[in-house]
Amino acid sequence: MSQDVLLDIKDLAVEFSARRGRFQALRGIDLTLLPGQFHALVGESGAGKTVTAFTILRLLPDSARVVQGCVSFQHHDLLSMSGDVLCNVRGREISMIFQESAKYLNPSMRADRQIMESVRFHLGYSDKAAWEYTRDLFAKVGLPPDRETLARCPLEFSGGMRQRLMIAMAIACTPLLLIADEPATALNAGTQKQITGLLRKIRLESGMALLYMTHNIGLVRYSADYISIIYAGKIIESAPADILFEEPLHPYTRLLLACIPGWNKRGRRLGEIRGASPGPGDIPPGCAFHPRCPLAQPNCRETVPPLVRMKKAPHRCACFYPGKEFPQA
Amino acid sequence: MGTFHLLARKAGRLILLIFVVVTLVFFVPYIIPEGPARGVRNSDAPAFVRYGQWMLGVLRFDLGRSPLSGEKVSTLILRSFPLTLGLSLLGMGVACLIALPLGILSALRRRSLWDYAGIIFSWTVMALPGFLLGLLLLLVFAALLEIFPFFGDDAPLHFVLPVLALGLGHAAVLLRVVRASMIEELGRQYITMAVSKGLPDKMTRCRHALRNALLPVIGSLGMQFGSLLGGSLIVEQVFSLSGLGRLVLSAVHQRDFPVIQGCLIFFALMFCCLDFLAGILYAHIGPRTRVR
Repeated sequence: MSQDVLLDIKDLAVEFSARRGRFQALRGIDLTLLPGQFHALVGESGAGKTVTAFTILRLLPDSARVVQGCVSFQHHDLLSMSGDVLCNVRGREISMIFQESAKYLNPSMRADRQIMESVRFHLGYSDKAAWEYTRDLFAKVGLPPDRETLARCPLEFSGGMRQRLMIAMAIACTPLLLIADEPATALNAGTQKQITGLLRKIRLESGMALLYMTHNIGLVRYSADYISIIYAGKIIESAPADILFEEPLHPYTRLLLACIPGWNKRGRRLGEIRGASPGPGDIPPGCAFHPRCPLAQPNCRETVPPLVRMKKAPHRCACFYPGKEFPQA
Repeated sequence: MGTFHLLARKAGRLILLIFVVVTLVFFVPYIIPEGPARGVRNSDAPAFVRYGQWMLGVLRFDLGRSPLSGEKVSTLILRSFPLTLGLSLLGMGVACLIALPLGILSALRRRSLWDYAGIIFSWTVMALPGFLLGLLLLLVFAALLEIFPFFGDDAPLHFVLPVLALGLGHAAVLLRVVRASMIEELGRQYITMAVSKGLPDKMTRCRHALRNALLPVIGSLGMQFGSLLGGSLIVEQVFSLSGLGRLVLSAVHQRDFPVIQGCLIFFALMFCCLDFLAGILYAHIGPRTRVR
């Protein structure tokens, strides 16, 4: 690629140690993010989206261990960076917003102070300048920029407002990359669209790249530039959004897209994928999807299909039979 | 205004509580087997009249006279109270001074030397009864090392050992509360968010967690103040200090009921007021939630 890659994750594998033993949360993540790109990472709960996000910023708990792979940001290895250098990356170059805003915001600290501490540390603003900057940020994310609201504590805000507050906190120092871990999941449908719309708007204005984790592929259909599908800790398909929707290759992706409710499918049964996603503890051998796959063959059980480039590059797929016709049931 | 209503409600509850306590204390001479009211005393006046007289007296701060010394009970209490209050406050101060830094340090550096030292200190001191701790301090510092005097209550030096005896015990309990609360807060998700903002690690975690971690500590302190007051009884006896505790103890020994009743009301009043103050502090510092 001629363009300078912003974030490059290669073959990332992360392991957790629990009382029952060790289990693989990530089994090989390959992800490339370009500057200014809206990259959606789509997967079910437990597939490894949050673990990926936390690994990038090294927020994992002590029980987690990166077994292999590398994460490089602007060609700097994030995983081996020292703590001091990492502090300059976090919040300044790469920011993150989390799923449950109520839990991730300090309940007894004023909203403006929570933003100001970041701005004062990274950008060196004075108290007064930081406050004014915060007030402008509030307006930018759609929060009332008045003295009273700024002085409120996070739990005095509604869910949607809290999420906007988190976004404000994350974009305060104009990072190059924003990692959004299912920011809209805990909100109602109307607010979901608003928040996703807000992120898009901010992205367009600042040229910030967005790595958006979600389990709802329909939500990012028209806003994402690039989509990667994650299943059981591995990326199984990755393509520009329009190509993915037009010509999905992996059976999981195809079944997933068939499940999206749409007004043009009125009157028909909702699609479903039989079986359940494997948890980190019991991932099947070979291709993790093979027990649920209509195309499964004996070799799918034996070998893990690698993520390879398809004929229509940059489309990548991890399947031995990409795009094959489903057998008529 | 929300705060005003909150204060008014709390104040109302405080007054109600004191009223209930005073009523209960009224019945003490009638219930206790050796109470003077068991026998014949003002027996011609009906119950509610006596109660009324009692209530009026309390409202006017007239708690009667001690049948032994003849002095007014209120005078006796007010004379002994400053010492007990001073002792309790200083004891709490010592407890906080030891427990807060050690507890926070223990939580930040778990399984370190500091942490283990704190745990050993906690368990050892908690196992010792109050009077034993006092006597041990006297033995070591007064008898053996001869740094502090044995008895007396005029010079400040006289108060070092009593305050330590009172404070150390509470420090031990408080240390565990601070440590546990801090560990719990440090594990919360908003700490992850704070770290993700790139602020320097230890200081940020401490600062964010502290305010929330202190809330249960304040609650615990409020409750402990009650036992601090009670503990001062023992300490005053061991160190021969003429405070409220000693007054109550000797009154009990001598069956001086007006003094017992007066002290009971006074202790209850102090405790209720402190609980009220702790509640206000909690409401001020704590997280403010949305009123739907």
